[in-house]
Amino acid sequence: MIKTQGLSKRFGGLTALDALHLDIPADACWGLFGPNGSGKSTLLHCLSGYLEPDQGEIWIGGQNTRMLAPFALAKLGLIRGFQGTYLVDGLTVLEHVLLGQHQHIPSSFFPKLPFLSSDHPEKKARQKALEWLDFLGIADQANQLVQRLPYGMQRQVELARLLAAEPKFLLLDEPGAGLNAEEREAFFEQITAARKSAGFGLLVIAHHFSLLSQMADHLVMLHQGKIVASGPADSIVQEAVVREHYLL
Amino acid sequence: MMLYLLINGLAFGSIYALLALAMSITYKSTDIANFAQGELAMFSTYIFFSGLLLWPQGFWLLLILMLAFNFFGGFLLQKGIPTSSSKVSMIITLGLQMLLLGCAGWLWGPEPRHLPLPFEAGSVWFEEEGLALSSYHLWNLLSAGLLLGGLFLLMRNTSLGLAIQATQQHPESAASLGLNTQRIKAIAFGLSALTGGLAGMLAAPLTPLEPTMMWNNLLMGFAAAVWGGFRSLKGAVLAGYCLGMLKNLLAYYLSPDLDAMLAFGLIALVLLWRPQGIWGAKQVRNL
Repeated sequence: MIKTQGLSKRFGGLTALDALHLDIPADACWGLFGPNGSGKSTLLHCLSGYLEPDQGEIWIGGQNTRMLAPFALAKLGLIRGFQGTYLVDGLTVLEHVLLGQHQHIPSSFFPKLPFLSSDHPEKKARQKALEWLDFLGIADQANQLVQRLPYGMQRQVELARLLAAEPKFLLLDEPGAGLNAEEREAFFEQITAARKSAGFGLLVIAHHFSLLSQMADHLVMLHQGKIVASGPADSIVQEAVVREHYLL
Repeated sequence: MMLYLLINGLAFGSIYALLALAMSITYKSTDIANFAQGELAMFSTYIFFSGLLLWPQGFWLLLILMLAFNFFGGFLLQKGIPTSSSKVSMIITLGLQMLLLGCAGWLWGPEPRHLPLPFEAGSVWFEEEGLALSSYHLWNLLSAGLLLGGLFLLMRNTSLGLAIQATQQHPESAASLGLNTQRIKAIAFGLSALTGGLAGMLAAPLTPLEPTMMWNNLLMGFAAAVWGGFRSLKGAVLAGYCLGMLKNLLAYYLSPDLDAMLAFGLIALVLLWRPQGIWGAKQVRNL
């Protein structure tokens, strides 16, 4: 699904990504880790169209996407989450999840009129949005304004919104940041459950090695913009560089 | 007397409210303070006027055409303004303002014109001490109210409205969900031009149609937008109506020449005391 060849990105004298080769299968779950500044987020930015690489190519689902804008990539099914929450003040939980459905429904000026038939696309979207909220166990908050929710729940709304965008492949940047250990574990379990249910591929950045190795079937460690270790969780822990950085 | 002043103030206020809303929509969506907002409205009102000269019976159809013209004009304008730096964009809007002023003077001449309305503007609806509220006031309040109501419904209740709000607050994360944020910004610009266009159309019978007709109005609209914090749409509208009434009271009890003082005084006060606007929340930027 995602393939890169010789992907490089420099910021002035700093090489953030150094000729990266990746080949991630469509239904895989890959975990990306490495010390701060190792290029993890830069890689995500390049893959999702927020940064243009200096060199190298990116293919998503066989299509060269180097020059595509983020929204065009989203239309190909590549959806990404950001570090932290980017929720819209003044909108309810349900409205956020509907935003995720946006690209799958034609814009309509009269969505809330009661006489609309049940197969109206906007009604379907609402139904789907509610299903995702229910799946994550926050359906009872559907009409609550997001800024009133605790942070942990805001993260769930963010996830519901990404899921509602119907990703074929999802990129997540430290989904557990800001959550306590218990919340983080539950959140990672929900992500895994959602992946099993909807069947998308996943590339996730995380600092928590143990959680990441439970979740992902393939781990990649970045260091100074290069892949220094790559493989299934149980074999990658044997690598010296991983042991050195993560004191396993 | 008081009632007259307040209702008359509301009629003026709807012009300010529309302009303030137009400026706030643009600013919120694209970080551009569009100083040409008033002149865009003036220009489209002149075009409407020319249309009426050719086809005097077609008021309503021409009005709809004029609003649509404004929408697409605004849509295309956003595509034309470089978005790399909001400072550059603001200078461009200042240039556009001068350009439109010049063109309007050249095309239609500097002399004031009278914009005819399809109904008797003088017909009295309420009279006291020789002061009259005309059907013009009613038309002004109703049409502005209708457009404002429609816009708020659009923003709250449609997927397009949700998309505009999401794009205004977090364009990056909106794009990652597949929202074409560039197009949504252009649509917001179009809606803003449409709103401003109606303001011009409502102002023309009050201040006769002339190239500089929107100067004072835009000043008041700008003050209202600042009062509302430039990012709160509700705040901008409320401030517009309040400003209209305030201006009228001030004109009656003190002097009619205090418009500019009121507007600039308010801008200064708000910026000193509550830069985020009376109803605005503090802007937090994610780095």
